[in-house]
Amino acid sequence: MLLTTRRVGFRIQKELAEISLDPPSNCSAGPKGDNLYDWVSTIVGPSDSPYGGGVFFLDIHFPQEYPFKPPKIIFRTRIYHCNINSQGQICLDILKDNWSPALTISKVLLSICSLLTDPNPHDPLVHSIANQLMNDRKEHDNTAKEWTKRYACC
Amino acid sequence: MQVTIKSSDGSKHQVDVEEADTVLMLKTRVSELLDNTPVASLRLIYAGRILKDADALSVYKIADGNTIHLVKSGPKKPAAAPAASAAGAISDGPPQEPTTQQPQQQPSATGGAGGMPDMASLLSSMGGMGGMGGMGGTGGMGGMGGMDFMPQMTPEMLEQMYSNPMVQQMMQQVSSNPELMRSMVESNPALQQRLTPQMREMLADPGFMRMVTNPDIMRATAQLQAAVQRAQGGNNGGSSAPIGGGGGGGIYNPWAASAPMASAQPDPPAQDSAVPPAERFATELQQLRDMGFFDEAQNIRVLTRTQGNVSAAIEILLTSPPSM
Repeated sequence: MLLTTRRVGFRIQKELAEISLDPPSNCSAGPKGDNLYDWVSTIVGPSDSPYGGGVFFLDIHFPQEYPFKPPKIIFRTRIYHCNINSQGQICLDILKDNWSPALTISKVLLSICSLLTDPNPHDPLVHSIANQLMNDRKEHDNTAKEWTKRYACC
Repeated sequence: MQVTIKSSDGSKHQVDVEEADTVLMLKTRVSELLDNTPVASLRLIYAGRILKDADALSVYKIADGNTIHLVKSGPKKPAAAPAASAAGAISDGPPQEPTTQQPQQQPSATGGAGGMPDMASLLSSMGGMGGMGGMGGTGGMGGMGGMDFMPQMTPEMLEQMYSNPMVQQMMQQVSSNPELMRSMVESNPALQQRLTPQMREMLADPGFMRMVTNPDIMRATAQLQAAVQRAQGGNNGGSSAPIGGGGGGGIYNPWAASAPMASAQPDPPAQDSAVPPAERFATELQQLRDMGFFDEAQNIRVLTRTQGNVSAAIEILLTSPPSM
């Protein structure tokens, strides 16, 4: 059951125009190639987090049902974060059950930014990191900083 | 063309560039703007990519008005950590740390995103003239609010828009050339789908065009719409339709399923149950077909259930398992 591609394409094109003209402070995104449904994105690590200074790459895939289904977003850059696993999958409610067609890719990227600042150890994807975050924040932040330096600073 | 350079601390700089310019040339310009920050410590990001020095800007399809992100990297540590040796590339990390990877400096907080979009992006997000048609003809702005691209127009916003020289110019062009409006509408497939025959007629009517392009009338319309909405307790709906003519049918509100639909319904066929659904919902069925829902029987079933509300029907169709 598909909406016509014209309609979905229209919505994605709008978002592209929006994000090219007035992107959020530390996120950028755009189509990977000619295919409007596959985008690449960057998030600059928030300076008030251990990811500060890192540039993280993400892949975005829009499903045919977009905006009725959420976009699929994964981290291409490795990151030490309890809600993001080594495959780059992100545990974020608005990318799953709490998706709303009123959300845009800008807003989703902003939410991911705030997830970097405020990890959610109570709904973790990587339990060991979540435990460390709750028990030894300093060590957690050190490791996160180290990973940022190693993987996200080009 | 002009591009905006947006630093991670939120500051913005306008830079004039040519498409053929290389990234390095742009970085040199940016470095001059930023008290000669070393070019090597500047990283420019656009559309999910880090720009490479040797590439021309056209490689990244950077166009006039686009925003490029700037991240400064430097020998200094982030403010959170104690400063390490400022001169060298050696960090205070473990010794096995690759020395090629310099610690980054991120000058300040992430800053608020968004804020009031400038008029250009507001206009583009309105779908240009498509937005106009909706506004004048149907009072559809209220209904479209949920689409997120159609900001709810308040009289103040409208005022601001009409006082924008760019808009005025566009209005003049359109009012002196009705063809332009039609071609704009017709070149936009998504909008075309939403156009009912009545709306097409309206677009072709010079009187209507005069009205849409007349700021005074539009202002009055917006005020009226706001007043009606207040009176209705904020109901979405094509309540200002009397002014624009009864063309409300074309633009539907996908999220209005839960809202009272009486006022937003283009034609009230629901009462007339003597007519078979296939006839009663002919326009709605056509709309569903246009959107790629080809199962006629299911469409009729769903439309009957939703009393002809296309948006509610789409929701049901999308959430129900495919019947083929």
